Amino acid sequence: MNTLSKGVSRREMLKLMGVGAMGATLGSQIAFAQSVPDSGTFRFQIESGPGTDFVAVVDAFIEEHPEITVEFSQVEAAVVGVDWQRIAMEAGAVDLISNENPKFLKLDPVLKAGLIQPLDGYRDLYDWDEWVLAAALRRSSRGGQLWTLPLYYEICGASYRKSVLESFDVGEPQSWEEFIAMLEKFKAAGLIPLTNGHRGFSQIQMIHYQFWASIGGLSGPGSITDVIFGEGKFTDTPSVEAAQAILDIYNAGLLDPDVLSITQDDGNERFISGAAALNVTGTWFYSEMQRQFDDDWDMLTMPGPGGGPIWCTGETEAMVIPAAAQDPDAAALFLDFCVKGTGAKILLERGNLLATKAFGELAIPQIQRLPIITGEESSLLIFGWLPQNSQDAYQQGLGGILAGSITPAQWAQQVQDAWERDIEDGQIPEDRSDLL
Amino acid sequence: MLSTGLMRYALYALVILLALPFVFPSAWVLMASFSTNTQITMDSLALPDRPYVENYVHAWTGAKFSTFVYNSLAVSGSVTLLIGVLATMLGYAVARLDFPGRRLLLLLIMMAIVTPVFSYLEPLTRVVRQLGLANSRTAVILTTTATFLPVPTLLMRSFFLQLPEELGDAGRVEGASEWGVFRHIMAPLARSGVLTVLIFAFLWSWNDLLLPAVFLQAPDKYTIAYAITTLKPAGFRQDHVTMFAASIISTGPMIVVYLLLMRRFIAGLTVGGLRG
Amino acid sequence: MSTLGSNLFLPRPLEAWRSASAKAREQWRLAAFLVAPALVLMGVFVFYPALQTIGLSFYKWDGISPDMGDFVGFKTYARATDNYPFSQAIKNSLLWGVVGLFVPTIIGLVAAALVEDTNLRPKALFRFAFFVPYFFSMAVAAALFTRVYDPSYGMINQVIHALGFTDIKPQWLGDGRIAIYAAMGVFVWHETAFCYIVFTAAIQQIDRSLYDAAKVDGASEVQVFRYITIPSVRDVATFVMTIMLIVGLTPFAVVFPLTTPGLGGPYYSTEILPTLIFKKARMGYNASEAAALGVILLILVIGIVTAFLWFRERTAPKD
Repeated sequence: MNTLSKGVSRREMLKLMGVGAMGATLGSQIAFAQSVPDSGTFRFQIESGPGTDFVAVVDAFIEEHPEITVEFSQVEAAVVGVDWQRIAMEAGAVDLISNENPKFLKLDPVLKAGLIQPLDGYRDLYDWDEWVLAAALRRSSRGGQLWTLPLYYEICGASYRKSVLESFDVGEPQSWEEFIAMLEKFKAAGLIPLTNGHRGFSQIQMIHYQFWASIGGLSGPGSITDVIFGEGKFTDTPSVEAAQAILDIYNAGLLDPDVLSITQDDGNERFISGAAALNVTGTWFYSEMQRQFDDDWDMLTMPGPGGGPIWCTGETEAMVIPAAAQDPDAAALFLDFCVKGTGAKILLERGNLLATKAFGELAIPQIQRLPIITGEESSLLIFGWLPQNSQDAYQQGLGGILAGSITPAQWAQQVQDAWERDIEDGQIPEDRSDLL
Repeated sequence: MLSTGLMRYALYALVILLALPFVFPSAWVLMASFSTNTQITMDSLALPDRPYVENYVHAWTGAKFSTFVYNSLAVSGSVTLLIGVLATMLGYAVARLDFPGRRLLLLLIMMAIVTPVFSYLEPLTRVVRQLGLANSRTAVILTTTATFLPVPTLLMRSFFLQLPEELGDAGRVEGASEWGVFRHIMAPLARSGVLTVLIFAFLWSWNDLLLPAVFLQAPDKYTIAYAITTLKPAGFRQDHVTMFAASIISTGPMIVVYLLLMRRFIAGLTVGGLRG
Repeated sequence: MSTLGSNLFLPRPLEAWRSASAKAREQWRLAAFLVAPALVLMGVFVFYPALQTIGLSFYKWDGISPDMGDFVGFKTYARATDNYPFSQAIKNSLLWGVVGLFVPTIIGLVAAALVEDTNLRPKALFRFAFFVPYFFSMAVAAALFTRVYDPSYGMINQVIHALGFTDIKPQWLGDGRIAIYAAMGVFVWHETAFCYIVFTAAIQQIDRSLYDAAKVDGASEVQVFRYITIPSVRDVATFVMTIMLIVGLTPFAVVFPLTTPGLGGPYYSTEILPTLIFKKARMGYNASEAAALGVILLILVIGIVTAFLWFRERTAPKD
């Protein structure tokens, strides 16, 4: 056994890190010493969407590690809520599970409930600090410990056909004025300039992130970062201006007039069929565009009034090892396989934007230019950071603005109220500065 | 009656006008289920150039609706049987047996009717989890049976109340036990009521969305109604035809029930149940 | 012991058992056997969780933490109710209850009377036609109607377009002013079939001689409907209306597919109590608030249904 030669016990480690009573209780449940296993079985569950990529990863893992048995299952979690991970973890039914993202809605409740174990031993054992992007690790930590390992990044933007932009003699817009001029050209040609789905999961939120990042900048007062981790409020000017900008393009007929009625799938359909020139979406749409258009596609980020284009990124496919796991060592070995082993390579080749530095050169050009790869700074994609009250207010309210039910200022106030309420309810950690 | 001449035509017109909103969308779905996604997006009222039967093949095999139909039949079938048995037993007890607490029991059944599952959703999921039934068809079957039971029970009660008391007494005089009176005299006489209850139970459990949505996480266990509402488009593109074809497939068992049993259902509904 | 108590509960069980006749005891034993399975099932899956809900609503619990959190009394209720989505949900639920009570029932009754009380042929075809929506489950119907209501290729807007109104393009599910009625439309479309079939059964049972007598007296069709059909199906109507009221107060199966998973949109215009509960309990971690909303829903349904049944009882004709 290649046991970690750490002198401190888990309990002492927690004390040293000052996690307090909650962490200590959790720590006491975990008596395993982290090691590279020479045999074992682990049970792995993931939602069915990304799960299809993991079928290949699991196969490759079994081939490389015949000593480890994998019981792999996919779960359909897209429509209903937060329950399945909770159930699986509580029941001790899994050793590794995808908890979607490392954010307040997802990570903090299961952490508070003591359902997961820290990964710091494996982080040291496998040297993940060398391989996984620092920001991803930081945002997956609470109280100085790493609780989840996000494997992907996701970035939102507006997808386009290269040939369409060329035919209109426009490039990716660098300012609000250029962006509007571009939309006007599309509109004049009878195209839907920018399509987007609001019914179901509202992707108007994605427009808002992009405008807001562009207006508010990467950090400092008024930025998304300042609201999530600092003293900022949703009522800060850049956030309200971004909402106003959405209303402006909607009223000018530059945003799909059906936006409130249609779903994202309808929007995708309009884009793929050529009826719409731009489609608000993200890296999760890359494999489909590659399939549809070969290389004739790319994605841009939309500048807001007064700002330049700034990408919004966030971590996803965050893997956790439940506290009740029977074979965490085998699970961690698989995680490492996805961080720097063949698993990472397979995921990358399938168009995923990995949160690790391995095999970066294999990525398609559309991925190569994104900030995670280039090292350029990007703003936060905050979907998933927001607990239910805030998220509901955010999504419903953006629809309310376009429908004329509320003003952008009223919307901002409602989101801020919901956010404060979620903080008060303990849905969000009081001190968030160390996550930044 | 006055349904002669002009009046008769007016009546026909009225009924057809009234029926149109109910028939037309169904007909549209039926037609579209044989169409193509492109055709639907272009002009959804037009007939397809040929009937695309492959939509059904895809729904049945590719989109795995054969599994969902099986799941639904398993769930609805079990629920129907359980409700048939339990409602008959409970209905007979509250209708015909004299025992302490009967009125309290009746009150409880009434309360259960007006207690929507939504009001106790979260504790219910906890109970299911504690029993180790999370993500299982058994959970759906048991919770559906428990929550639907009150109405069929009251129907069976009305049924038993309508049967002449003398029949039971005659049995008792001839030395039948209470169980014998129930099993061999009363229950057989309530057969048409049981059929009505079975159909009710089947219709409602086949229709249910909430309990499958709450208790089933693994796609291979989905019921058909839940599978259709969560049907994901193929590769981010809208897949109308698969969904339409699956919806038409989902009507199969209901149409069978309607054609085979609806006459008896109607008869059963009125002979006893609702007039008591 | 009060009269009520002695009626409902057995005050002195042992004494009663001893003094009961052998026949009575046999009935009790059979009753216990017949009642027990159903009671256990309902106890575990209905009464116990329902009672737990009431308890839970007074605590502050997220639904996942191992301990229940603090007792906060009615604070959870204050939190759950002091917001716009809640007032929308109450408004919509009440409106939906009224629609459920009258619209599918009246259409169903009129349609049943039109088919059964006239010599229209073929009756089987008309019966089939009115029952067609019920072949789809409510949720499937709602999922289909997302296509029927689509602004561009949707059936309704295509028909409007085909009729020559090329400028009219309602956003059935995207316009907050009409989305709730669009949703209710699916409900009415589906549930009318149920009302129809039950009323059909009831009308077929009416004594035909009543109609013949009316015919001899020269009553019009409308008069026959008013004075014979309606009074004859009164009890059935009460049953149907009660069911529609209960279903209408909790039409989750309609709203879920139409607006999922951003439930209740656009801008809370289709919010109902069940969607709020679902969001709090299943899409977030607000179990206590979901419980408080559950209790409110419970009181609402019990109150309205009881009031309705009381009203029907009071206005029942005396014979």
